[in-house]
Amino acid sequence: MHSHKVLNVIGTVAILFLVFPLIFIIITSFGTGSTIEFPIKGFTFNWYLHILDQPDMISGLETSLLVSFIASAFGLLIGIPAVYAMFRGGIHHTAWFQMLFLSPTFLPEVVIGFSLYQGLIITLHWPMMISLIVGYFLLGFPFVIRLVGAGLNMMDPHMEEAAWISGCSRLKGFFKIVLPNIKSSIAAAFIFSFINSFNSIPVTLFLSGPGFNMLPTSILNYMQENYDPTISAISVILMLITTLIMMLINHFMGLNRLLK
Amino acid sequence: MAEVTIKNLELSYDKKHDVLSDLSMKVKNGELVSILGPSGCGKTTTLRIIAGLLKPDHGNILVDNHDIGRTPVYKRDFGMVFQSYALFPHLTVFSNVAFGLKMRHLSRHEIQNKVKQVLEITNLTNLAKRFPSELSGGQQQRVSLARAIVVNPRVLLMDEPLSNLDAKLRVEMREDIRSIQQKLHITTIFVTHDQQECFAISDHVAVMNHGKFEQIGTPQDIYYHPQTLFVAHFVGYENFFKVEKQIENNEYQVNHQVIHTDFDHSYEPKYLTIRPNEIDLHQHKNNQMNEFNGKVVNFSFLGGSYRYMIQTDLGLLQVDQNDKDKFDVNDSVYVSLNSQLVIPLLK
Ligand SMILES: Nc1ncnc2c1ncn2[C@@H]1O[C@H](COP(=O)(O)OP(=O)(O)OP(=O)(O)O)[C@@H](O)[C@H]1O
Ligand SMILES: [Mg+2]
Repeated sequence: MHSHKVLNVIGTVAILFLVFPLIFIIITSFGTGSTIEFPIKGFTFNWYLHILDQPDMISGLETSLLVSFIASAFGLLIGIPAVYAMFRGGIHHTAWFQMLFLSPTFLPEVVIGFSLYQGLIITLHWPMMISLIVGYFLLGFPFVIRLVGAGLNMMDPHMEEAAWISGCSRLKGFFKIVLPNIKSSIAAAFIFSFINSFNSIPVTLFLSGPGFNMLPTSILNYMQENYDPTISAISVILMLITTLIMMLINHFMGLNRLLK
Repeated sequence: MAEVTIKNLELSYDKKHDVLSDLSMKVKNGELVSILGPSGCGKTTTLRIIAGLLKPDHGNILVDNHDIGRTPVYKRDFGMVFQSYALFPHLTVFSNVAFGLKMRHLSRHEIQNKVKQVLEITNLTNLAKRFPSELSGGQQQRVSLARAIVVNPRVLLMDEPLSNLDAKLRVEMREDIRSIQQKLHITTIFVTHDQQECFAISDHVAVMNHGKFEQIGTPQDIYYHPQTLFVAHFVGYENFFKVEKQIENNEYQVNHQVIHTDFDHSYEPKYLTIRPNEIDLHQHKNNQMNEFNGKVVNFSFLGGSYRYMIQTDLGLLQVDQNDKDKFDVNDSVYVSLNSQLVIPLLK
């Protein structure tokens, strides 16, 4: 009973810290003042409409969503087979591979951004879009390795063997037995890598530039010139997008099973 | 339904220590053969090699005299029940059982019929729509069995399928397994470390120790005529006498004493042995054959009987008695070994 109470207190404090800034932002996005203020003096939807007048932000949002999506999808496409090979392929030096795949997590994002900028854009003259996809891929990939790896680890390896013995080839078994049983890990991996790359300011700053506009850079640019509730409004929109993605994926892939 | 021959299997996981060495055995059409042995002796390894999940370093697996060494797992047409059941958690009981039939591209109608039939045999009809997470251990075990037999496998492999169940259910399930196996006439290899379980359901038993078969025979053979120290110990023999020399045809010298026996004296035994409950214990000298004087060292309750440790000229003997009132620690007693119950061990 006692530990229950402690847990409740900690939970409440944590929620307050997490939720208050969000509530603060939501409220300020409806303020009538010309700068972000709290409490607000009047109520308006204008700042949301104002976003539509910012072509930089709109196009930034579009490309950010697109690039993050492509990078995360590539992360899954390459990451899932890689993890499977690592855990089930009878490959040696698994730990070494795992270290390699997780290494982007240990590097400051600034370093990743800068080295990709130097390597891909300056030296190889790759287009920014491709370089960004590579950068975002690197940011998301460790999540795929870790989460999908955890999912595979939780799966009874005999399950797959039972499928083979029942007359199922290895490849078919992967699709019929392995994938359905790690789909919530895959969903989680997708969400984490998507959000992590979507939110990354350092990598985005290095790999985007004039003529190629991403959301974080356009928000920063806007903020330098006008500090008004449009910033709050776009933040609220982002929260809604994130929540929506989570809900969709949860609906189709059963994320709640993973969290149980 | 087929005949399985295992020939000189050898395997080492680390290329240094042999896990299996020179394993050979034959399982006849429709027979249930158990592999019995203590934990870590190589039972699962053997079964995995037969299934094709593991490649042996040497040796062959023959099914109806065809070497299947190069046949991939999924083309072997086997069924297997895993210790962990390994059901597909994302599929219903029906779909779990139907899985192998779908892989064989049977028509919808045929799949329906066969699954229904097998669910009936395994007593699962009412649970067809449930998911594995909604079943008890015993029910999961039956689904696992149903999934393995529905494809009419040439060989059924079972790796300690009952070890996760409680004692009562275990007895029930083993009877079910046996009757289904006999009804469908499936050649079956059953792995267990439970002596009673394997005696109750097997046509033949292969006793395994350290990656070798110590003895293969009927349950009665194994129980009444163990041939090695290990097997004898496994089936409840406790008193082992190292033979020093053969004195006459049926007389052997043990610890400078003589033991008379009744078995065929061409055996050349390394050891003689007798069960604790087959030694007669009494207070006064009866002048019987194989009678030795001794002293009670201690005794303990075994449930149903008492086990006495008796120090004699033969060595320390273990003797079971039904009541404890008769003798006390340090009492002088006589033991006699019925010559018909003393059996020879070859190693
Ligand atoms: N994948 C593996 N790598 C290395 N050694 C292994 C592996 N699997 C089993 N072993 C070793 O091989 C030996 C035989 O193992 P096996 O699993 O066949 O035993 P078992 O008879 O099935 O035992 P149990 O009754 O405990 O299941 C054991 O000493 C075990 O430690
Ligand atoms: Mg085992």
